[in-house]
Amino acid sequence: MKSATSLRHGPLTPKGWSAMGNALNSPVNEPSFDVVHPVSRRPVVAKTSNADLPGLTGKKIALVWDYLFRGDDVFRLVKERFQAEGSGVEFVDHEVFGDIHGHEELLDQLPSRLEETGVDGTIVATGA
Amino acid sequence: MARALAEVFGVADPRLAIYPGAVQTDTQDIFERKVSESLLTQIERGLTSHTVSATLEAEDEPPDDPREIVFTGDYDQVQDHFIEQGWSDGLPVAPPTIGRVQEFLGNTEVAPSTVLGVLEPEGRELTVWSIAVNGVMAGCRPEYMPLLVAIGECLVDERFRQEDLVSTHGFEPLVVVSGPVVHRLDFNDVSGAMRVGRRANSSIGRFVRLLLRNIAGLRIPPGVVDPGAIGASFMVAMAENDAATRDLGWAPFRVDNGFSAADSTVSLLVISNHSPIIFTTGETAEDYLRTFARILGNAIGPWAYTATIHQGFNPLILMSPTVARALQGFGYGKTEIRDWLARNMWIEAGVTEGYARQVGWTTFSFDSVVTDPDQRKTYVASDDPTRLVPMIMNPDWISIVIGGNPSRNQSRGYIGNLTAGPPVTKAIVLPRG
Repeated sequence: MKSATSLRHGPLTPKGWSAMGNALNSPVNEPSFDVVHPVSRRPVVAKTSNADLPGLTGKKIALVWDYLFRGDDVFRLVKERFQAEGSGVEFVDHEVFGDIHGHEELLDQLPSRLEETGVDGTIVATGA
Repeated sequence: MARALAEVFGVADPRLAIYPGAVQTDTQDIFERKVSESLLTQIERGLTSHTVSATLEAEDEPPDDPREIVFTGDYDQVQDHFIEQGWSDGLPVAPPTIGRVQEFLGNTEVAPSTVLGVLEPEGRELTVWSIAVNGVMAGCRPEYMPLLVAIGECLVDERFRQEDLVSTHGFEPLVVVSGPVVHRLDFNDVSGAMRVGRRANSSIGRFVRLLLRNIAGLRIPPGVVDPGAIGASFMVAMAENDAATRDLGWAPFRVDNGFSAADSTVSLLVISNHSPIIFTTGETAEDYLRTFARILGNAIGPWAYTATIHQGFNPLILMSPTVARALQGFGYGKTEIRDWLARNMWIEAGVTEGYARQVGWTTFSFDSVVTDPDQRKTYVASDDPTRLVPMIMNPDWISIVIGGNPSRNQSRGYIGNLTAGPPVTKAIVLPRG
């Protein structure tokens, strides 16, 4: 990326060019800075991955929503599609889990609630 | 952004089904067609036949030793490098050399390796060292370090809900400084109180945004994680005019927040917008306060519904000393002003409920959200959308800070929407001696 300085004086002068060229194109007596990283480290997070469901037939699926951006409408269409196919898919509605937007306590409870309901998978509708 | 956040939370390859387009602006028939033709297929595939790609590799992580030199160059080269790495806010940064960082660390007794907490969404540790580095970059003076540490403490305080700054709304934190430190560090608390021009006000405001960029990870394009649709720029730190407040006989902001008059404090709150300038005059207190209510109320507008979600709404009024003196002359102090405004700022229920739906909460209604029996008497007195509901349930939610030009009748309101950043105040701890 060209800096404002380079746009005014032309491309940054590579080392090895003539002293005259350097004098014309490089700031004189510019100090050099040894700088440190401004970003701190983050804890190593273990990568997780769940197995695919072997189809949806007879499966129980949780619907979780942050109560924004037409997620309820999406869930209605999800149920219409997958239940209409006679697959025996059972859905646990989003009201069971509550509004996860900005409610830390509900988010904290979510893993245990999903386990309690015995679901095989979860569809989470979120937007921001 | 979902992929970036998934990496932070340890999900190797998130199963995403992405709505094709802007879900809020599609008509119902277009929405249903897009869901049926695209989204449902993605959902089924995500549940049943998702391919997990190779484990994500950590990219460009900082060195284990934060003192390690990561770049050497002249001034322009440092600027270019910081911009290329995404560490810069676009303005020239003061190069963070070890010497400069150590000058900052010499102004606090908190050890540099101290971890104050973690900032979301990248989950990085907010250390005293990283505070010093970003304080150097922002152009702060080393003497500001105790304030910078206190700001860090505010950010990681769970009451502040810093994680909710990851929002398309584009909120911006506001720092308010109160106490003897205002004059000791040469803050501006009079004319141009909220304008860049004084190093303390400007650099400390900039510092907060640099922290959110470099430690929280909120970077606009070419970065990924900052979802601010339009966003807002950093605000200069607001400094309370302690002398004017004392002359009025009013409690200063730090005392309002539970500290003593001898303390110096920083407060951090999140602002979504500010009002136009509020010009006030009149023969009675009500003449002044009716104008405050109208203009402040317009600035709050249909966001008022958020008060019922998080049980709080915290507008801050930066009030001219001369306006405060006039109100005092009518027998009004901060308590009376707050009470009057809370009792006289109302909005039609249907207007604010309708806005909640436009924001994205398509099923919002006070009837479904308000559960407290006493609040329901106010918010769900009927189903008439033209019924009036209060904007401010609790007068104590309103903050009043004295500042600005002392010879002008101009004040201003600063409005949040309570999704993030209820006001949090911390003491500024100066090093001994």
